[in-house]
Amino acid sequence: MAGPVLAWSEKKDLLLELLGGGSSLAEAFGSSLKALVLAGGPEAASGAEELAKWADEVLLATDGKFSVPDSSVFASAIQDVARSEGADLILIASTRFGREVAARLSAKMKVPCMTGCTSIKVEGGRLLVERTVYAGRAIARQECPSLPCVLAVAPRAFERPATKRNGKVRTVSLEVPEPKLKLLSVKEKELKGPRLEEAEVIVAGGRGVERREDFAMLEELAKLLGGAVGCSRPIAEDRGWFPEWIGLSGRKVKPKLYVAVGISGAIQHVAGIRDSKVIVAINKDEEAPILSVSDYYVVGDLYQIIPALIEVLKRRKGQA
Amino acid sequence: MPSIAVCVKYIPDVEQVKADREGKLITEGVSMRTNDLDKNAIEEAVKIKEKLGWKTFAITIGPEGAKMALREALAMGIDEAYLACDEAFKDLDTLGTTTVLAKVIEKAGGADLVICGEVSLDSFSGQVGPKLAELLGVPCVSCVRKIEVRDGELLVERALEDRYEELAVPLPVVVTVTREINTPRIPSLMAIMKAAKKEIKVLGAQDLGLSAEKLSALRAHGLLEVIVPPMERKKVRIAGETPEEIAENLLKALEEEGVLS
Ligand SMILES: Cc1cc2nc3c(=O)[nH]c(=O)nc-3n(C[C@H](O)[C@H](O)[C@H](O)COP(=O)(O)OP(=O)(O)OC[C@H]3O[C@@H](n4cnc5c(N)ncnc54)[C@H](O)[C@@H]3O)c2cc1C
Repeated sequence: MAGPVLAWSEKKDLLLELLGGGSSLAEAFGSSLKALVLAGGPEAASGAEELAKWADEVLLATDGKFSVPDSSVFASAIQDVARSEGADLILIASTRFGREVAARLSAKMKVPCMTGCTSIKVEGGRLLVERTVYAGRAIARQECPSLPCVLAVAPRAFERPATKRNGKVRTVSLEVPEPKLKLLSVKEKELKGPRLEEAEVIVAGGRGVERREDFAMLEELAKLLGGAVGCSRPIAEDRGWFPEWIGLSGRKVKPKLYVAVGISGAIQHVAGIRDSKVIVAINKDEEAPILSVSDYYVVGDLYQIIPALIEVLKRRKGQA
Repeated sequence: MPSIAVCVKYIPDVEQVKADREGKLITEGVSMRTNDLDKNAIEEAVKIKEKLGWKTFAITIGPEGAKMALREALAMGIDEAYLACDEAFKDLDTLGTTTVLAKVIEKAGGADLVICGEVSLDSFSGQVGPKLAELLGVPCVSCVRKIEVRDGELLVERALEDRYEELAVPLPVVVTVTREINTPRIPSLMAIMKAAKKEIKVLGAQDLGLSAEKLSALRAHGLLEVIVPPMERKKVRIAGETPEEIAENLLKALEEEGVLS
């Protein structure tokens, strides 16, 4: 029998996912499942009761220092709890911040750490992990060499929990170090939630789409096909036209139909559309990598092809 | 004068890797290159150097061939370069890697600012920056897309999934950068020729005071296999005389696939 499975994430929905996957790991280990909430204030502490339904225990530490996103502070707090609970497996959601905390924590504890885990299983007493490598092109299968260890789990790798454990919330007090970072300001993105992940049809634009206004064309096509509009990372992060993007570091999608418009098909993008049923690419470059990972492709100017598609679809709808 | 350390990694070109018949990854014969995000790290260091006159140095761990990454850094404007090269540095885990990096930084006289890429595209773990910060006992901010030095402090913008944070951090600090922070310069032929003549300091385990025993405890364990999932697609080119004809043909194909509502 091993020590408890301890789950922490700065995001409540992802912590819930960790409890989903953590539950079967705890079972396989013959150990308990605990969630850790590090709250900067009462608002962040709310919801601990709800989490407790899905864990054997929720440990709640409230301290104003947790309102500063300093990975060193979080890693130190998790280390304290891991030590006092004798945790053998520490699960952290592999967000950008979570990955940073996981890495620091494992360096403090001098234990193994793997990030971006897409699958974690116990088989014949071995802890087996799969993680994304080569920018999404490949999957590494690894065995965790020793316990305790820290595993950062990719969002949505685990399902939300299904079996209740009906634990209690226990307040813990921790010696929390002073943060060294100062948070000056926060700009929230206006995320549209699971819209893209659930869409049956996605029309996505890349750098081939020259102006913000030109996305209206893609919107119209998406509407006619009964789907949503998405984009590649540069459109979101370099040009700031959309808050989110599709790909390895963005949303992973699995529509019936994915139409890539003016997108070159970098592996990081392709890693996010792999599970689409049919991929269509429209690109003016005959050598664009996206063409070789598509089912149907058009070599041509999107500024001619998209309006033509809209035309034909409208005509068909008119006739129907 | 304050100094900046940049950590770089020489990796197989991830766009070129292939699978063997059993679906296992093949990297043999794939050309090597400097990790893309490390070029963003180099560029950012050089920009700060140009503005504030700080000293810059680049570090890599690897075989002799990894000098190519350092030559590139020098050509882009980095002042000095260190190659940590030793049989005992082979197959280190991330804690091992950062242990060696921390020693090289110490040997080079320390750094006020350490810049790494957010992740190396091959191992894709994103742990080197934060672990190095832990070993150096300094703060870390990862996934930064803007850096400004002001009054001995660093002002940074961190890009997270749902928000951007503006943070102030005291020096010394480790930051990791995203691809959005800048566009790495392409060095001129002159700069490349000059860089080829510069000295690269080579350091082994002994130079860094790392015992074989310590290093063997930092070796990576447990890798079972790396597989490349197939991306089998139909790859049918849709042609036509006019855009309308192409559109008709494409829609016909999609109808047959049953993906049009
Ligand atoms: C760590 C990391 C993570 C990343 N994660 C992601 C991710 O999750 N998602 C993502 O998308 N990217 C990601 N990227 C970036 C990725 O590497 C590429 O830079 C990016 O996907 C390229 O976007 P693009 O295809 O829109 O632009 P480009 O590569 O510039 O491609 C534009 C394409 O448009 C075509 N085109 C131009 N004009 C026309 C026209 N008139 N008609 C038709 N075609 C035209 C061109 O031929 C070209 O193929 C990541 C990068 C890194 C380093």
